[in-house]
Amino acid sequence: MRSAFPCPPIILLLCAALALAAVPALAQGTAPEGGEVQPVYSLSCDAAAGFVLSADGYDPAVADSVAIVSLAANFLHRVEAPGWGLVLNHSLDLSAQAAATAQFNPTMAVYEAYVRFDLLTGGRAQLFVGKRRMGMGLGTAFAPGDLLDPRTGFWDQKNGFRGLDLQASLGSDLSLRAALSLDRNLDATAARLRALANPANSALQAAYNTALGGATGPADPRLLTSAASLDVQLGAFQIAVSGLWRPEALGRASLGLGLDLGGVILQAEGAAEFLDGDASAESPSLFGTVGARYTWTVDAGSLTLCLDYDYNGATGAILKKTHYLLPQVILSWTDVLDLSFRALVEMEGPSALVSGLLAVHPARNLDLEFSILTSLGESGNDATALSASYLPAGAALTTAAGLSARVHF
Amino acid sequence: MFRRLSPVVLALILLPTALAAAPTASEILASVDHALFLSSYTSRATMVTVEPGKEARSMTLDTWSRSDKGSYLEVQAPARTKGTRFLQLEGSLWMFNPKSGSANPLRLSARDSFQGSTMSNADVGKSQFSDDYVATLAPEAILNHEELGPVPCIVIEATARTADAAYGRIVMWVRKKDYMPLHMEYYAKSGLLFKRMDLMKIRSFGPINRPAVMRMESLDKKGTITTFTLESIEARSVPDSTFNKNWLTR
Repeated sequence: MRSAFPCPPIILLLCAALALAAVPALAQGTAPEGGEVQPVYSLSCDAAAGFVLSADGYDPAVADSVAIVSLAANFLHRVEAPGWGLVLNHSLDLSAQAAATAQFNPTMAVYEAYVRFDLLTGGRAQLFVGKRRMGMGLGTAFAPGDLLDPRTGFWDQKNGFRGLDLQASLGSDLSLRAALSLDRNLDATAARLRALANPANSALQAAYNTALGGATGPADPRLLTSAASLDVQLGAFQIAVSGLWRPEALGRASLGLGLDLGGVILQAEGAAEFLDGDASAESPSLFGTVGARYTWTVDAGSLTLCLDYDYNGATGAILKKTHYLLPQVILSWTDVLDLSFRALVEMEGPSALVSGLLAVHPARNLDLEFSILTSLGESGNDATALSASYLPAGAALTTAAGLSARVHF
Repeated sequence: MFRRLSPVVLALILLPTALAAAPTASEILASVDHALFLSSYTSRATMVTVEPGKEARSMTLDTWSRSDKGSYLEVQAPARTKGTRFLQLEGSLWMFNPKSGSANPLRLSARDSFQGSTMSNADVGKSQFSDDYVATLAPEAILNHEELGPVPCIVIEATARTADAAYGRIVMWVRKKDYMPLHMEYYAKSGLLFKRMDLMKIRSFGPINRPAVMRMESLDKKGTITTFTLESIEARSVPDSTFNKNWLTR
């Protein structure tokens, strides 16, 4: 049975009501007692230069190897003021492929660009408008309920979503969240503008139709994606409930439990997905994860061990098989070095995507980084396919090693 | 007038006064809390850690704290960790780095070292001892304070009353005349003395007089000292929303 209403009405009503409430709340402001607080701007950035060598296998001398001279910078701008805030988080990549026909495609990526409005007395709610990273659920390695702004890889890296995000807190222990993603509407709008600018180009018209995905136009509510979550902290326990809804396409509900057991952080989360938004379907796809993390600390050093298992009930954009393990080892010595090792093990192949990063800090704001990423197992397996999203474009490249210097300022 | 009263009657009259004049260990611990922390405040402090043979490491932190809620901290320097945020709540501690590419805060243990210093996460984030420790009186002593010389002190032993407490026991030397804490010794739950702290440079920060400098020395790693210098502290009404995980990722 298809939904008659394109989006859960409660979410839209909640967003509208709190957006309207913003004006008087902003007029009051949330300036602490004791004087006016002026807007404060801050900037945090880093720049890295180095090279990455990618190859098919472990021999960089093979014909398929690719060398890239990397030069990139990350910027985080922030304005904090009573009652509102502004964030711009972006990167500039000037990397170029070092080949006879050098390829140079400078790119600028914007991960976050949003305005925050503090609502209600004491800023107990915030409305975010713009592009923003968002995490839902508890899972730190795998997250069955985290679909509105899905992870771009097998660790928690996100590109952000565009739309509205409303957060509310009741005391320290209860958080509510509702979000509305306009990503698909905006993508369809951009595709439409390109198609209109070049009406003779059939490929652009086809791209527009693909972006619509059966909707009647960019403003069709069926392109909206909404999500809501509830997070409760009960001492050492944490409970997270979340749901995601895409009209006439997808519904996913998840429940996560977390526990701090004497320093061992335990997490479990499960989700059920109903296609076409039909909760009465006989066989929803199931997803689940369990994981544990523990950190030993000695003086300025710490060693963290993590192990997570993931059950993936349906093929997704990144994970295409059913059973995965993700062991992680992270060694850190403050202001001396950071060493991390991760392996995404696909248990059916088996195959694995292994990554390692060593960052040495020879000076106060200088890092020397050595990274390696390789996929193990038969060619064409899941890990190899996944590694393609981390490796430069090329023919069946399965290993990348990089060396770079990074400056923070 | 006193000559007309019998010693028993005189004792009965003076006993309540005498009892009222002698504060209990709990009251002294509460005085320590009041001397060090405001009930609701913002502050800026710099923490410098020195280890033998290594370059000194410094960190500047802004804090928003309320005794009934917890503490929210944000790193202002160095550039590598600038913007990293911590939220200390009853029974839990969270960290979020907006530059990490993640959107989820990470849960930490209160007993772990704070950013490689000799201070624990709880030392930096907790805004009062009374929550986690129960105090008893020990014999008074003269403290040879590095800055003030010999100082008559009341000594109290604060023993952990919750499993979340970062230390098994803290022994505090509190100046007798105004209950100003001047020296503390920290014992692990095993009973091992492993840190000690000297509080110095007592000065006015608007509404309170308190030590501006707290120097903590690690005894199990000789020569490692963290000096926490308070640059400013202001009484401010910190809103409830600051003490929710939502605020960490804003």
